[in-house]
Amino acid sequence: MKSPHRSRSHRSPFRRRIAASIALVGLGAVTIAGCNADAGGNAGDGDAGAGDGADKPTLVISLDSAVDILDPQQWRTPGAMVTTGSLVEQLIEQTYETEGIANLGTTEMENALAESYTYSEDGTTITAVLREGLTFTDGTPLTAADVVWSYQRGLEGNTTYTKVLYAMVGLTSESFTAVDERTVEIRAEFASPLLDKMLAMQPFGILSQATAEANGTPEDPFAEDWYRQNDNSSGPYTVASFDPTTSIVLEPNPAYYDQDKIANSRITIQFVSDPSQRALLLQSGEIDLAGGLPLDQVAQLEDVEGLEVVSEASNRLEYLGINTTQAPFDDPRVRQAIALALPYQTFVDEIMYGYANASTGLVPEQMETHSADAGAFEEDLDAARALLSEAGVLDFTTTLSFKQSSAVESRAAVYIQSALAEIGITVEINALPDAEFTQRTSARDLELYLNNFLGWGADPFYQMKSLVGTGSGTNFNNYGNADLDALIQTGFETQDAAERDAISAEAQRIIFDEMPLIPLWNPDWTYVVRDGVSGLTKDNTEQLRLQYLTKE
Amino acid sequence: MVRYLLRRLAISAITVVGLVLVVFLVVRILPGDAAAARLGPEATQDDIDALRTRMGLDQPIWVQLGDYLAGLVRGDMGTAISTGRPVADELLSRLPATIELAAGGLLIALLLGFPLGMLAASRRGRTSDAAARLFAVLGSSMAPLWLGLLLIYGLYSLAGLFPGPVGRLPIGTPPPTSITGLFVLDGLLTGNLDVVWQSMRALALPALTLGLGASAAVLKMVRSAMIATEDAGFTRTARAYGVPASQVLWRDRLRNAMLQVLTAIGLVIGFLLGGNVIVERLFSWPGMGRIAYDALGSNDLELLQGYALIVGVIYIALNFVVDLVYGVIDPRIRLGGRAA
Repeated sequence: MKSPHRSRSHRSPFRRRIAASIALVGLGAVTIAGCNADAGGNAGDGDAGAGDGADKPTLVISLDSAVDILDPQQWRTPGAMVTTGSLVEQLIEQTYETEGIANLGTTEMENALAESYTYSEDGTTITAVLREGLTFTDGTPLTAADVVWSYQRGLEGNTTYTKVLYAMVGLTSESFTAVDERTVEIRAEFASPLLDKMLAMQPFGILSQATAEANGTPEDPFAEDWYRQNDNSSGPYTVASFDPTTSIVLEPNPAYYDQDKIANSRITIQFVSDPSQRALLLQSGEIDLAGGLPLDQVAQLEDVEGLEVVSEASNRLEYLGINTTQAPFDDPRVRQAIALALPYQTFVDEIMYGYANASTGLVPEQMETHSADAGAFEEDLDAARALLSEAGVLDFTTTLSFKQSSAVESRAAVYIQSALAEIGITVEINALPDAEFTQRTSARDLELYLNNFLGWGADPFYQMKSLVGTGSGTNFNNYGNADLDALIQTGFETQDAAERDAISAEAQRIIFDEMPLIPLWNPDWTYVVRDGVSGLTKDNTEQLRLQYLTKE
Repeated sequence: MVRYLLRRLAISAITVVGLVLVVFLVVRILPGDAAAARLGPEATQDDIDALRTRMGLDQPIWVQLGDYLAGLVRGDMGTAISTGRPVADELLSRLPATIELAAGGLLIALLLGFPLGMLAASRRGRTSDAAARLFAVLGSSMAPLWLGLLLIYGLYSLAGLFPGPVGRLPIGTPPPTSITGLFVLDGLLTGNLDVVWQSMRALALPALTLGLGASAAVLKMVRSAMIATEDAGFTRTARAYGVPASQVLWRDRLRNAMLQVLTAIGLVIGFLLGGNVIVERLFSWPGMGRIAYDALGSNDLELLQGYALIVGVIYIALNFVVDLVYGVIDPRIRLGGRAA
């Protein structure tokens, strides 16, 4: 007897339906993939040529962040700042002192695109003459008009941080003139030692006006869209390929005026999201340099053969912010009491694994004009309790906020909670999503919070104005002091070193007495490299300068 | 069948509209100001206000919704704050990487989960069943992050069998000419077998990380669905007719268990396509999950909104396809019960 289960009339339709289902699913998958055929894959050709220097080394590095865009005035990640720093060159360049395999920035400058660079007698006007025969990568001439246009773009485009810098040194969009093809005149409203440092920074690299005109639109006259994904380099390197999801490959710019200064035939910056994997790749020899590694891993890598840890003192400041208009923090004695209760050396030893310096003030020890007389940051619980008692504030509760993504701040919050409990302050820890933290610091409604800041140019007055100047965009403490503001502005406009020291010392003393925020530590500038890598260069924005990095 | 298809299509369309509304509203109530995020902390309030006006954020919520819907109709999902590129371009450029990883994970999940589930069901109560169930417990309880770290350490760092966690290709390997965006497929289509090999090696560890976890879900569903058919009337009848046990297992019972299994596979595909954030970050895989993670950090609400929308639409599309396949497999569903 034949089983009905073997009947073809039962079997075939089912199989046809299964086949139809598979075909439908397959068609869907191919359609989805096909729809994205143009969008997928790498933006560049991915096959970087060896450039002109085939005998030069190639480097593979991985930084703490990916490269988002290639516009040197609008990047948003540190990785992009490092990268674009080698795609543009400034009129002048900082000089460096070599310490081991690191180059540390000095206050002296040297000519870069400029062959001469002179100040007027009153120090307010700079006349720079460009080198002869300069061109961008595409072969178009680099002229004084490009310099003026680039600076004006920094002020008039959709930039923010360059605008802040211009204002600090008294520059407006009318300050720049192209005297002739090669001569630029820069007139500041006042003489400032910060001007030199600023003009040597990467955001003041020179871009091509002709390229912008060719690729801009009436709505986008500065070609910001084009510059996000493209370059026409005035610096030592140019982009061979760029995939924002994976890597960027740089190769020597054939139009660069000094080919001998280009140390590598290729630099690949690989975007590795997980810092632990970055460390693993370094150990296995797949990459030559890693940045942004967790400090416990850095400490472990100290003993790994074939690797070298480079750790240099930095001006970056980790601080405890205080809402100075909210009771009881509106009383300076309460803020001072908190400062006296904190275990500064413990932060360095336990949280930073020694890769930091304990707090020496808002103007840290290694920054010019630092004043040790302003006051020391030392733990003294009795003095802290006495101050709270004097202020009539005992046993209160507050909230300490920080970015959820920061493991360091998360640990620091626990130490602070424990330390303040010793003087009767109950701290509730509040880890906020990064977006909410940013919003609430901008709204200036957090009571206590952990944050960090790096003042470009290692300038004490820039540092003070940014963090405690009235109305400053990065003063999240609601603190304002007209006398202090005036002192800081005087400091900006003073060139005499002794006078600057005196003004700065007075400002630091006021800040210590008022304690609008509490400096906790200065984290080191830290990278781990494979043996043979040299030229790790820290400029005055504390970024890595790729043009000096190389390996044997 | 056409009426069934149209009905499912209508339900899917309504769900998409609901999804758009929910995503739009949720993003609006999240903390964070898109204009402030785009300009950074140095921006003045005037700059922020001006940008808010340009972005339409100063308009009432229903006006913003109207603008957003009109943009979606044009294929405009807004501009990513972090890169200044259109959100659609940012996400769709990463979709092939996510699809490739999901396909790899699904393949592993099916290759492991399906036969083990069948084995466990057919040998219920025996040692092989216990072993399969133990595998399922381990697979579903082990966090993908931990499993990925173990695989990287063991198979890359110690054994050196696979390339490091640097994305879709080892460092220095140029990608194939883009046709579909799927590197393995593009390598095959362009005859670039080296890229096919290298892509598959790079895909292996992240796909294993995803696939091992997903295989547990497939295994459990196949096992339970197959066990449910063990004492069904059609099984007893087939046995009474003397149909060989293997035919009863593979044809009758499996066919009847397929509805539940398909549901599980649909959910697994959805998970693989949308839930890869941790694995993509761990392996530097340039997919949509990683960009969503980065968007969270940079407060890029436009990008997050686009991500939620695309993942939601993928889920809805998957459900639609699964519903269609139900109809193909089971006439009772297709005919609305009239065949019964």
